[in-house]
Amino acid sequence: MRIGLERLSKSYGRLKALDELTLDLEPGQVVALLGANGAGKTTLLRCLAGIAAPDGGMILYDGQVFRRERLDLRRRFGFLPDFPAVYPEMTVLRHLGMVLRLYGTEPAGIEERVLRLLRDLDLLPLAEMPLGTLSRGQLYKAALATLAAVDPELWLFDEPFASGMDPNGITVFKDLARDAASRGRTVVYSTQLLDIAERLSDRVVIIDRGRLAAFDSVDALRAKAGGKDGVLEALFRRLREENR
Amino acid sequence: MTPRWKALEASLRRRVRAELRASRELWREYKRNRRSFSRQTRLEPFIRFLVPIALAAIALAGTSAPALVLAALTLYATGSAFLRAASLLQGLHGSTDLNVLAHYPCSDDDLLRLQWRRFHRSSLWLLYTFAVVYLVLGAGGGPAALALSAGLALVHWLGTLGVSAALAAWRPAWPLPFLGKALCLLSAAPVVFGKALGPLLEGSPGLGFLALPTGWASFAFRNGIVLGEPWALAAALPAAALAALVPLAGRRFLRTYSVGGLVYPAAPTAELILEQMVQNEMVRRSEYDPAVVESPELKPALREELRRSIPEFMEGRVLEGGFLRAPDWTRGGPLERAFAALLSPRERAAADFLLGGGMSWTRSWILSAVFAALGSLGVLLLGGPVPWVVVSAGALMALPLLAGTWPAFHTVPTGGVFMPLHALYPLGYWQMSSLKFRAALVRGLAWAPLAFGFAVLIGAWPGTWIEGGPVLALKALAVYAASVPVFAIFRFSEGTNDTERPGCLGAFLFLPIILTVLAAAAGAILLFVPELGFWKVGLPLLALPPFLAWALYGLLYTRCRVDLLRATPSST
Repeated sequence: MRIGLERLSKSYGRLKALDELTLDLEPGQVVALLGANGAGKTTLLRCLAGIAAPDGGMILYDGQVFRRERLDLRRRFGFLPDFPAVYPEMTVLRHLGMVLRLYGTEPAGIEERVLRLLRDLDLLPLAEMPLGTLSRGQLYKAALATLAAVDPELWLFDEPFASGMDPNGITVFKDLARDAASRGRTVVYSTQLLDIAERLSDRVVIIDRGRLAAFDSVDALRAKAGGKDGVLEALFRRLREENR
Repeated sequence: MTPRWKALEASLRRRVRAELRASRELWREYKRNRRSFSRQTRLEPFIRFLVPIALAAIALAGTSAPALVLAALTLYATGSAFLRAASLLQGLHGSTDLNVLAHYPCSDDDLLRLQWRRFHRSSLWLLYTFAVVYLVLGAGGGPAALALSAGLALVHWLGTLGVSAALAAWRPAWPLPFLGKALCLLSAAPVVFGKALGPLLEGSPGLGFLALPTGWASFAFRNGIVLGEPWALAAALPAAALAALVPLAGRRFLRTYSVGGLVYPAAPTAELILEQMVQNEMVRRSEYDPAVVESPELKPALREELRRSIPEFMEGRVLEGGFLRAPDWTRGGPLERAFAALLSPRERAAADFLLGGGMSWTRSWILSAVFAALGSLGVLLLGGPVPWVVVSAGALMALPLLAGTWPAFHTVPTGGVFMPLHALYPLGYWQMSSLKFRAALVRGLAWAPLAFGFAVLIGAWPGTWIEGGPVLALKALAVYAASVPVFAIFRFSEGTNDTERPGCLGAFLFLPIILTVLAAAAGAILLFVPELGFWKVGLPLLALPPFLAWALYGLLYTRCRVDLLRATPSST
């Protein structure tokens, strides 16, 4: 799914969370959203998911203007916030079934896909536990399994590496993201972990106080920095210096 | 212990600001952040503020005798004593403060003293309540009566505080919040049912007040000041003595209070998982053979079987695909079946989500219908067929319409704010509204016989002022139909920030919605006052504006003019 942002703006009172952000993301990529705390990463993800209302500009999905009521477009993406929103009394399997039906997912081969995800994420023994009894990391894994089972064209994640998932969960997340991108899906996630972003992502978007500070492929950024590793860290240091 | 070190805060604030001012950019950002900080509005203080004003206004207007106002005040004080006790216990055992402070080196005594001080400070509004009511009621008796009124207000407050502390110290297991809320609600009864209760109270020596410790001061005031019997002022002495319960309760807490360890919900252990699986399997098997639950040997056998084969067992369950099947609503009650019959498979999936995967409308409908019928009858018997009694009874009768909740509209925390659960999933305004409308249709049709029965009953009640009861039921149904889109707006609005910092643009956008809702309210009033000759206007006003308001709100909602985020959790 191709994502276009045209002069996207969003304010909270007088605080400009997004300031005329213009961007074009091609499908089949893993994109990292980077920025300091309060830079506007979560707001951007919420706008992309239709939760926050932009004050100006527009969001285009495959060239079509996105509005909250475009259910056809909303069925093509899934958003996993920092803390998954689920019914606590529902079991993992019941939640999976309900969301899959809500998205109208094709039933062919779905059981095998779900089974593989549950197995990979060590969720099999928890499959019939109420979601409210799971730890934070387990809950995030259950929500990740659900999103991966739906397999939308656009995967949106807010801080997946601060979700409490164990090392296996994080590895599976990275594998799922890479696999989804290789199948033409777009994966957009926010993070503060620059080394992971550098290794996992095809492109990075750096937001600084609501404005686009950098948007390029990791390779291009590295080339500009003379082929050195830790290019994102250097970029951030420079941004901070400029802002002081 | 005090959780604030004001001097240090002030000094740090000064230094931080000095540093920020040194950089124009940082100072600008700081100012921006300060301005975007929004304060929360809470309803509770306004209600507390309004209660004594309302009682004083009733007393001044002379619509209720002083004895009735004092009865209401006594019940309110009793309810408040229960609520204050519940609040103290909440502060001591489950407050946010505790969750924060328990992670720091604070002794149990420190935490107790902190909550104890808060309990006293936050009970001061009760003194204001007593003072306003007593001073208004005692104002006609000259300066001496005024001084005595002020003294009795203080005594009443101290006594209520004593009762409250005693309840928290010695009766913590009582359902304090429930009793408190029930008594506060009940405090409206002496004013509402004044016609029936007035003669009873006016003619009595007021001994009923002495039944409750929180009524002793009321008794002293009513008999001593209002009726001019000085001996009755002696009742103020035991009322004042109740204050001694405060230090006694404090000492008991000092001896017994212990925070203990904070209890966090544990991640499921292998045993817990196994137990849950055994439980699930028992439920599943009992669907085919109800006798299974009676079989004592099955559970251990099942536990052993599952212990050996959890992974294979779960793989089998997933491959079976049962979790993908839609819930079978034909096994529910008549309401569930009727609702399901109106939905397509895709809509059923959406309804299943909005209802949180479970629906028990029929059961709660029957319960509330029985309660409403008995309650309405009771209210009518007590108050007679006068207009406001009929309206109260009618409101009670409407209870079954409220049966059933939509948990997907509840808000959940996300990144420091709250969003409705449905916001994350592909569900739209029109689609969700359409499901709610159909549910309302089913509920309305189920309620119609009750409404007609009630209307016929009050139409035939001896001495009634109502003619043509069934017509009244039709009007009530019309009001219900008109309220459905308005309540749908409220439901959506609860999960958004539309009323937080609305600003000029917000006010401009919401003005037509507010006007149309007001027009509908006017229509509802006109419908019930045919002598105004406007009923022909009332019905169209009731029929069109609510849907117009719903459509206008839908435009704002779907055109992304509001965030599905709010600073506080919704009240539902």
